[in-house]
Amino acid sequence: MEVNRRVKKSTLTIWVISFLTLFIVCAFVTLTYLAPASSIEQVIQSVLHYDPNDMIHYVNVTIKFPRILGALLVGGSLAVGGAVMQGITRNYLASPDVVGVSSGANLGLTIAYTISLGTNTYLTNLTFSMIGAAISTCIIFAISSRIRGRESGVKLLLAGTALGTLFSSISTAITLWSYTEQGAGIYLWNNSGLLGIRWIGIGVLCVGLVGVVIAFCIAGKLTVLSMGEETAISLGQNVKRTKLLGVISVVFISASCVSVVGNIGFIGLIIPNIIKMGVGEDYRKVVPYSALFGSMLLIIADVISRLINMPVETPVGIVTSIIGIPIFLYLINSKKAKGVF
Amino acid sequence: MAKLTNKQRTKILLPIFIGFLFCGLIWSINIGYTPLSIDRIIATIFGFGDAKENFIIWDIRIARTVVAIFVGMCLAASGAIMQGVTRNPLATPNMIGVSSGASFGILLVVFMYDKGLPMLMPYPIAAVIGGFLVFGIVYGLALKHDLSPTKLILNGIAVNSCIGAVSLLLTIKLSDDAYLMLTLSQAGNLTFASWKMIFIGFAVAIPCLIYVFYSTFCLNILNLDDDLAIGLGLDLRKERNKLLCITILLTSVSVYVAGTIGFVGLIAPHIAKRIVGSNFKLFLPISMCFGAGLVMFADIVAKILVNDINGALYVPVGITISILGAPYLLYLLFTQDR
Repeated sequence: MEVNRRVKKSTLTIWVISFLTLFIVCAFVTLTYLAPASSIEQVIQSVLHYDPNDMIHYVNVTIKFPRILGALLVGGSLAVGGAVMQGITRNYLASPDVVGVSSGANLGLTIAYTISLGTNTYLTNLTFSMIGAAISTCIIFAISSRIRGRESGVKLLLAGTALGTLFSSISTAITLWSYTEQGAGIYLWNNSGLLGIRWIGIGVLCVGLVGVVIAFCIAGKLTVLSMGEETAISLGQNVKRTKLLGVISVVFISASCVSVVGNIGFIGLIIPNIIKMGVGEDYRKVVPYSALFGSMLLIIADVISRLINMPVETPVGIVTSIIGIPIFLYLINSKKAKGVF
Repeated sequence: MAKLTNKQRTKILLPIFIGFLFCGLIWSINIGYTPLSIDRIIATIFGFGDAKENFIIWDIRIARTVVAIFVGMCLAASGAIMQGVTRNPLATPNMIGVSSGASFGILLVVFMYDKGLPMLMPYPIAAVIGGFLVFGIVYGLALKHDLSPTKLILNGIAVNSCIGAVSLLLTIKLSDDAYLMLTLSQAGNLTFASWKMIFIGFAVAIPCLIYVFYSTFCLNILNLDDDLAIGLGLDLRKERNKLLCITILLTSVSVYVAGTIGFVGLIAPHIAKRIVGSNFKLFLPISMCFGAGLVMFADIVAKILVNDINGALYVPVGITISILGAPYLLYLLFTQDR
């Protein structure tokens, strides 16, 4: 037991170190190699002696730094959101982007865009996304508490897919209706990914961090909840409150991420599952490690998305989907799925 | 009203549905972007219109309505067959990725030639190949789990989103014109079909549909029980494979003609089954009528909405149907579990 734990601890250290290395490498590539290229001295200079008239300095400070930070925040929060959603629904395939919560946030964003005729700020976007995310989370919850039995997992997923289709169809219809500059604006917004992040976007993501903080606070309770509702109740836990807090956390996370970077798929699904393979169902570990590895994945995906089709940027959601889907396929066809479906 | 048997009910309902379809047909021809008086429309249909009227009525409105009916019938039939053969009420070609495979095949052809291909033939062939390939992948993956219904659907969802991502990757590299054409036509749009496309579609679909009606007996048995089928001397695997091939053909062809239109293959058979029971001889025609009507009326709704509000652009019928169909699927999932 003692040896085992020590082994685990050392592997974890290795993971954390490799994460940091990767982060530094990706940040280095983003800062120096990707256009407009700048030398390391210039990067350091732009921090220490920022000169807004120098083009390189300006790009570094207003575009590249927020982008790296944004990738960290978005990846980490999305993975945490997935972990929370999986914990409270007790379904390892439930993550905000798979069960339609992100599409709900997206619909809210589209409506905000259409109503305000493009004059909206980040704050209205965030508010509307939150309303959308909250509504879709409530629907998903109502369904997941209603369906029981052997195939409950697949039904939740189906319901989520249907809900996602519904919301994104309505979004598309609205976009086509208001087919003017706002239509194009909505499209760009939903697909811009990390390209559009500026410092103000980081501010919105920090609002989303409220959700991450809540997730960290309820992590222990999620562990108990994941053993089963009856167990949790008999252990004296206030299940309703845990669930409510979880929902609030998911709403904050998905709304802030969607309103800043649009839909980025699969991070919330795959990261927590991979982490669970390593550390088990203990959410006190799953949540922090998800945050760590989610940021890692998104930073790598961002660099890949810019390298695939230079100089055009590929939406980062495509890259995360292409990484995520094989893992998704593996998960649903693995032995682990046998008990659930 | 005295209780009717399913057969009697079908006999009464079928003419009513066909009458409805006919009314819808007239309505659908009647509305459009350019206002035309009814007597001009009638005159044009009987061959007395000028060139412009001929173009509007025949090449745009009637073509569009025929496509709606054709696609609705194909999708409803293939959904009904697949649900029966796999004995899974949620397995429709759309759910398990056949539609997205077919539309991916078309995308690949467009991608390789980019600016418009002179010939029509590669498109339907690519659509069918794409449909078969994706079905093979999903079916193969599910086969490892003895075709567990849920595994079939789950793999379908995964493969669907995979194709979605790769498609997006490819469409980014297309030229602007090809991109616009493709996204609009593949979002379930009836406006891009020409008579040539319709004829190619019919040439594939009609033999398939005749075969299906010819083998309703097999379908009924496959829907029931494996042991029963074997006992009755049916070559189970052969029949099942044949019928599945037919569903893929029907779906791919309809994707070729009108793009991906979701939920028709799921909803139409479900409702038809509720009305006339699960005997294929009765419910297949009803569900095909229902599918045709669904697509046509959704198209009418799309046309009316857009004519009134904006005039210039249009909402693809695929989106109207998703908005109608997704709540129904949610309702089904919600109520099924008692």
